[in-house]
Amino acid sequence: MASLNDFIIQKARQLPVIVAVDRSGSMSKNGKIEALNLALKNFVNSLKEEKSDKIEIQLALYSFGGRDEVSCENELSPLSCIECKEYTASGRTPLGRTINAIKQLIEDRTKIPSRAYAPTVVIITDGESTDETAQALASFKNEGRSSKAYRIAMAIGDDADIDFLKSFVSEPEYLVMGESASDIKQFFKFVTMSVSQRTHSLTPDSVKLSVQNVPTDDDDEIIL
Amino acid sequence: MYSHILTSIIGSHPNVQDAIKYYESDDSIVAVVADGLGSSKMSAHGARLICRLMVEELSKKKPPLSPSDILSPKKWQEYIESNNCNLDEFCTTCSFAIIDKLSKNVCIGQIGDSPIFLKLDNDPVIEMRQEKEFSNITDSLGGKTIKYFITHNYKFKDSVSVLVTSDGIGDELNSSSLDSLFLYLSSKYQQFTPKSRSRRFTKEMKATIAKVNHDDKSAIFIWSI
Repeated sequence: MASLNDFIIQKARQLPVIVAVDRSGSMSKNGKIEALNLALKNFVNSLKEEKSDKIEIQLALYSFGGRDEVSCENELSPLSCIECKEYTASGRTPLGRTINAIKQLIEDRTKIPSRAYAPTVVIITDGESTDETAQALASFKNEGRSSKAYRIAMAIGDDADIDFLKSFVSEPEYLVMGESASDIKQFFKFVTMSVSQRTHSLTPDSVKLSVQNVPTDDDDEIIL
Repeated sequence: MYSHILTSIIGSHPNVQDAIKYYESDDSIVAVVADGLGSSKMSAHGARLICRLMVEELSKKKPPLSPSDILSPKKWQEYIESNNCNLDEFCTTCSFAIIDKLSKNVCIGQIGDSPIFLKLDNDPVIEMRQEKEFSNITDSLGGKTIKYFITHNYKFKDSVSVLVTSDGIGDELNSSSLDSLFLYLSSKYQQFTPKSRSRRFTKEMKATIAKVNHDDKSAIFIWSI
């Protein structure tokens, strides 16, 4: 016998999370790439524990490095389909191309439909951009759907492109400054918390995130 | 002859922010659904106000209507400003349908993302959905400039059905089964007494769509018999 259930979309609304990580040569120093690989795995595992029947977290993983290359290791997919790759560090830091690639994904309504919540975009980097960023950034922030994304970033060390990242994030407090590998772990805790807050919020697109509330976990800090 | 069902169910918020209003006379039918924005403090008041103003206005008008024929958004803004209130706090979407029973003209109109679905005679259901960026990000009444409805006018020969919804319901409806949904609703609820139809419809809504998202869920469905 028919019921209204037969006429409704049987999928929860999507909450896209797009993470782009730096695998340029400088990430090989001071255990940063190892810390990143570990933190990313923990991040994905933590998100897998988030349960909501109204929202489905979907994750896309990008990395940038090599000869100004941007690669997408995991297309936007439910968390059950995500497998974290072990990154090795080499090459350059094409931040402009990276945000162009992410923008392309966000603008694609077949991958992120109107019914989805605004995506969270996360960039983590330790270097100066090696390609053009001004135009890519202006387009990302001001044009189309990407302008509505929650934009979070981490700058690792003094060589990071702070001006770019300051301009990239949606709120000044969404730029986290880190010095060491242990800060990478802490940053991903912040990202996990922010996604979790949005997943459980009644208004996922109005959540204000705060890095201040992230618990520290000194016991299993990575020793460099 | 026309029949209708209507419902407005609270979502996960403490206060209902949707508003609906239905009006029927010998000549016409007006259905209005408004969805107050969760981020605006007084949006429930804004939603109720626009519903009242729209029915007051549209009950005296006949389709076809152009956006400039509909003065309620201007009155809505003037009313709020005359009470020294901040427009931003009253943000709401609004969608409506008006059927002229005699001339068989229909006008549907929309400010924001509350979807409308219309079936004329034996044609497939027409959808009027705002191409919004993401869920809960929508155009609305309540900005600094006066908004105008996007309107579409149609004529039918024998039959018409229209479903006006808030996005809590409309966004969850599968586009590929709208014709079946219309048939399901009209055939199921026609068999009940007019008095009990909306109560039964609300009960079915609560048992099915109510849990799929956090939004309030409102709908008015009208069908000719």
